[in-house]
Amino acid sequence: MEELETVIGLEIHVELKTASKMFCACKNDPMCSEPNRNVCPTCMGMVGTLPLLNKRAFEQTVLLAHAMKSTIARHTKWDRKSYFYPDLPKGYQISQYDLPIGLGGELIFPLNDSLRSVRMNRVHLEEDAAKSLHDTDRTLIDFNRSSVPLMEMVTEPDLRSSEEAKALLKAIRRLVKDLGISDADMEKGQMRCDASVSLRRVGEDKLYPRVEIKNLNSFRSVENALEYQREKLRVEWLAGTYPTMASTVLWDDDRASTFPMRSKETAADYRYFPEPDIPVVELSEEAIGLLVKEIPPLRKDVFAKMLEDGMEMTKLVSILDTAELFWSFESHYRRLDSKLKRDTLLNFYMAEVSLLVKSTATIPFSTEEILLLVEKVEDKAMPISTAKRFLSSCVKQGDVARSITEFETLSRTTKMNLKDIVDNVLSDDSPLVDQYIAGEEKVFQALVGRVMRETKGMFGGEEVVAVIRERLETIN
Amino acid sequence: MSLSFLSIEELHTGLKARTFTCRELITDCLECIKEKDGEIHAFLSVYPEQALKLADAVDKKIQASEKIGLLEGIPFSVKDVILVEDMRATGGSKMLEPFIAPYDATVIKRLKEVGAIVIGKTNCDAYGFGSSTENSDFGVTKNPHDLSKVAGGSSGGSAASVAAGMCVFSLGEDTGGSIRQPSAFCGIYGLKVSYGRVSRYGSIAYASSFDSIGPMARSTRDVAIVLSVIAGKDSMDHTSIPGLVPDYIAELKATELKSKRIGIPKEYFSGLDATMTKIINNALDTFKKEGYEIVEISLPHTKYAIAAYYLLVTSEASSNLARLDGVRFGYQAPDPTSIEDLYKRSRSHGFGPEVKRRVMLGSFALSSGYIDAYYKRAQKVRTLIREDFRKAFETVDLIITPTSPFPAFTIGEKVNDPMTMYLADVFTVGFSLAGLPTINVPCGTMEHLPVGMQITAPYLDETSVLQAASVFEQAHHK
Repeated sequence: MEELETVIGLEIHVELKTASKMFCACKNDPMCSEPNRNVCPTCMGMVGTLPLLNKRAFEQTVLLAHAMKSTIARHTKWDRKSYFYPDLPKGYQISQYDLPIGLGGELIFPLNDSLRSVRMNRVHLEEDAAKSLHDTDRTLIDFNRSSVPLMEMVTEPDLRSSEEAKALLKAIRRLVKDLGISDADMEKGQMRCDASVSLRRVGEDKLYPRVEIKNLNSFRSVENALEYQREKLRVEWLAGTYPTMASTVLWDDDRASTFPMRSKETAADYRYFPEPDIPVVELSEEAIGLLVKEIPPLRKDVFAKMLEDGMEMTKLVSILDTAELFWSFESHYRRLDSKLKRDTLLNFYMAEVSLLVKSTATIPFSTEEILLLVEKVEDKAMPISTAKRFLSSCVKQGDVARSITEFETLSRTTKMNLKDIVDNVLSDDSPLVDQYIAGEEKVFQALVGRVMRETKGMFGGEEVVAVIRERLETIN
Repeated sequence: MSLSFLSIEELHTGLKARTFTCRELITDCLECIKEKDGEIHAFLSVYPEQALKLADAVDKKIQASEKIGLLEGIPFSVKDVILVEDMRATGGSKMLEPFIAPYDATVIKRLKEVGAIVIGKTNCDAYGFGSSTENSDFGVTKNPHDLSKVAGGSSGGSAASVAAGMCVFSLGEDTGGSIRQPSAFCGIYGLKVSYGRVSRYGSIAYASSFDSIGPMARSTRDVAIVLSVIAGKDSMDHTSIPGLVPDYIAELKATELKSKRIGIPKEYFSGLDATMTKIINNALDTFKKEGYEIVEISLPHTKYAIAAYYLLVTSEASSNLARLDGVRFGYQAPDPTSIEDLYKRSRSHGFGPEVKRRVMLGSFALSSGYIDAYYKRAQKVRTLIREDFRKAFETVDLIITPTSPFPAFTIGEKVNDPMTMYLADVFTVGFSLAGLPTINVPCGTMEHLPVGMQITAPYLDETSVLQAASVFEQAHHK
């Protein structure tokens, strides 16, 4: 049997963060705790109502299309996609069929230590459906989500692993967050994904009928479902069979398996035709130019620049997903001129600062403070471990500058000699020393702790350990 | 003669002069409805209490010598596809029998703002699907001129209510002739505005790219007065046309009319009934006497109009009616066993045969594998028909045709033959495909039944339509 290759394409839906809904003035707040609070005759699909296009949602989609280097349509229209479902009040969804806002484009994203690239097929704008809440004996419908702007992105089948699919989703989440157009929280349904997977022999160009997996509500389920389906397909291929027809399955997170959808639900003819209630939108080159001016710096671009500067990809990736962390890093990074200093800064950000952001959601030091630490480490005026300890203690002390000042005062006045301090500690704690000599290795850590306290972190742990061992040798 | 047969301006003068009260006017209408509507069946619902209450408020203002607007206190009826808050809006369909409108259509909002009073909702073919009101789920509307005849459709109830003096004017809705043809059958003036001239917001959509709300009244002036209130851009309807709306009333007063050329499309007259031809020719003679020039023109794609029209409107209608699913409002089948069961039984019960026919036709025309041959080809024909008119209007200012090939027909005569019924729209649908402004003007009678002609002008030029109608009206009644 030849070696098999996995072929994956994604269809990603992102709820846009506009003030009002896609086609009416209702508040765009699909998570509103009171059901059917943000509704009106239009988003309830009452007779006589007409859709009013949300200009901002349109603009946001143009921004994303631009950021992905898609060709932005000068001439866009909407189409009705017809199917009956209780959460679809009009019996059709207003979507875009043959003239999407963005066509083509690509997205480059990191995975482990390499950059991957995926071609985009299209980006279009549509409206979300309401939410069905299934009770034991009835179904209730909450229309708060009905007609919330929903952006759909379709990739080409360029992904080769579930990991890659997940990494792409994360890249898209970063992008829409940077653009300020969505929070893209998968758990909240702000970002949803359908994944199509098929296999082929390595070297083949053709595509085999794909299995489309729906109901993927987290990064983990995307990865797990694709992994599950890929393995299932692999077994089929090894047995000499593979699907001859495209199919659609639903992922069940609890059972960690997929099961087929009824053919009735998949064999729909959506009867697309142009939405007569919304005129064609013409977009000039000039209007696009003005619009894209508001695009803020994007992590993907800054990240690419840092790679060019020679930064290590895997390290950068570890701070990429938390916007605050990354932008804080970037703001200091810009002011550093040497690779060593930048590496030191990244070192701080990957560990201590990252933890600080996670626990406090703030960054409790100023640019001057962090740069001072970087300088000190760079000048060998301070061990990196000390600098890191300062950062860790930031939450409690809230003042790195004071810590640094104290450190310097201490080092100036006492001109500390590590050997002397170690000797003092060892003579003060002679019982511990005795125990150590008697073979109780674990007391060693207590001695290290004592010395670290005495030196207020001026010396790195490794150095302290080395000196204690050396002095203990002499005592022995 | 009942007060409600007076014109809007006469009524306005009478109210201001306290010759009669608004309560008396409304009461007259209600009396007329009580007396005649048992037989005619123009109304599906009447709101006497609300109307009288509003009338009293108008009378109070008059008594306090406050100024009142031209339409203040004027009673009108509304085709049941147009929503009036807190009133029923069945659209002529059982599906919406329990439905109470939760909001006002923009046209209603505007008329309420100037003080006009809704007296009731009028019968129509369900969702406007028909030309005789025989497709109403609530029974046919009879022609006030002959109770054995239809009042036309789909706005038959509106036309009959105006013709019978049950109200002063009515708001109808015209997709392929639904204002003009019943106006012709009932002998009144009915204007189909240019597509987009009047907001569609709050009108139960039949075919979204065709639907036009317009006034139906007993004179051109009354039509112009109502139009001046309802016309103009509406922020609730993207397809409504921005820009200034002409002062239609002032334009009618402008007596100095430049000599205009009227085009007579030969395709509309070949094979036309001799009496009908004679009536139209007489009308054209009247125009000639008024200094108009009559020229023959050709609209070569006319023969495809009916086919293109029915493919496009059924396609759009099949989609527009999808929201009537029994889930949120309207008729809901009891004890459904599944969602499919709920849909099937609600729609099977709620929709009559003509609605089902059109939904199926439209769904078919849009379905994969057929959309190119039907819907898309029909769109191309629509473009060609628009071109026909564009070219014609390079040489003429107006186009005149009969409104219907025949006067009101006997109830039951065509209802079992949908194809014949569709063909009855042959003179009206072309203008609808092109979105042009066009009015029915009564111009004679055939065997005691009214006959109307259709006067059409270029897109958005309602003024020329109204001016020509007015010239004829005045000359004809000399």
